[in-house]
Amino acid sequence: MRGFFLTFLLASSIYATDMGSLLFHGNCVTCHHETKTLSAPSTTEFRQRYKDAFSNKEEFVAYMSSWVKKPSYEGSLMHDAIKKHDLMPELAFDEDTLKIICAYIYDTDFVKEEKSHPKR
Amino acid sequence: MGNIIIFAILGWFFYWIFKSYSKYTAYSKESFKNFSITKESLQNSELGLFIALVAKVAKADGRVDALEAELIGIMFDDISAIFPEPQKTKDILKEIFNEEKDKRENLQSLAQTLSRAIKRDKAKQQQFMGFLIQLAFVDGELSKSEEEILAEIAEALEFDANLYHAMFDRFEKMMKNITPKATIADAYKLLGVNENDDMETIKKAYRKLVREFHPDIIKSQGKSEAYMQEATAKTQEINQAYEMIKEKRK
Repeated sequence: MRGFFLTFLLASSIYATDMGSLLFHGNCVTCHHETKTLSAPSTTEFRQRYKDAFSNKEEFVAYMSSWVKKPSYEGSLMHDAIKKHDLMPELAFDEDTLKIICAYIYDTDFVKEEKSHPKR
Repeated sequence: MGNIIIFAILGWFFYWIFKSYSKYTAYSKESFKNFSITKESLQNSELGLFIALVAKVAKADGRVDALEAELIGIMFDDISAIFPEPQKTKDILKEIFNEEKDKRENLQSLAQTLSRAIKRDKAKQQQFMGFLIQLAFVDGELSKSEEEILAEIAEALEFDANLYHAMFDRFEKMMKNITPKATIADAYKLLGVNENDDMETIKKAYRKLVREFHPDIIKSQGKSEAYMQEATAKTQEINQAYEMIKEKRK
């Protein structure tokens, strides 16, 4: 029974990563490259900034997803980046989708991932 | 006495056959031991080329929405399940998807390469095309860029123009005919959940149903065009019911 629960938990978390990875790579990386700052801060950079502020995953996901839902200067953790790149536009993703993406960002070490796929 | 000699010879003969067979299986196991799927081999296979086209259609309207991501994730599972190293296969498929989604310039050459690979297999051409049309329609409405990409792929695949338009029209008509559930009670019923259930339970039920009824590229082999349409319609219904409940609970 415990074994069953463990496999079930494992399967569902792998599944969530798949969704998160597809949504993140499908929608975010055009502006937020994993490690390089292009037209917006790199994912690694804002991930670190958020992690410094919220070490707890739930808080990290809640804050980031509600900020992206309605980006504002006041609520931002990165005033320097907004001055440089302007405020992120509102993208009209629903909250569920944003939460899946933010959870994926919290869980993924993009520097490490890039090293394992050097071609990208 | 003669019989015994014949039996002995027969017995030895069968023994020899079995022995050489077992040697052969041991040999083939040995020679395929280090055989492992690589990105290069998958990329140039029918499936790899197909995934690249799927990526371009999915991203055609500029975004990959939740249902698209869900269906593509399930498709990766469907495909990788038939390979000996599912996880590795899935990672490669994802990589191909991520690399190809924003590239527009190689659309034609990829579709032409795929066309050469499946030239003789009319059923497969139709199956692939049906899946791509379905994917373009699945996020609700068809954008101009999605329509353009589909048409370009159909042309590069040398897909029969009349058949393409007929398939396209059938999908369009079918999407129009899906009416959202009249009442919220119907939506709950379709998902097999209760009004009192929490959102987490409903989400689980929704995902399970999508997984059960989604358009399956592997299972669709050898099936008629109607399969893809029915699966698309069912997925739409499930999704609309879920959206309705989400909206209601806001």
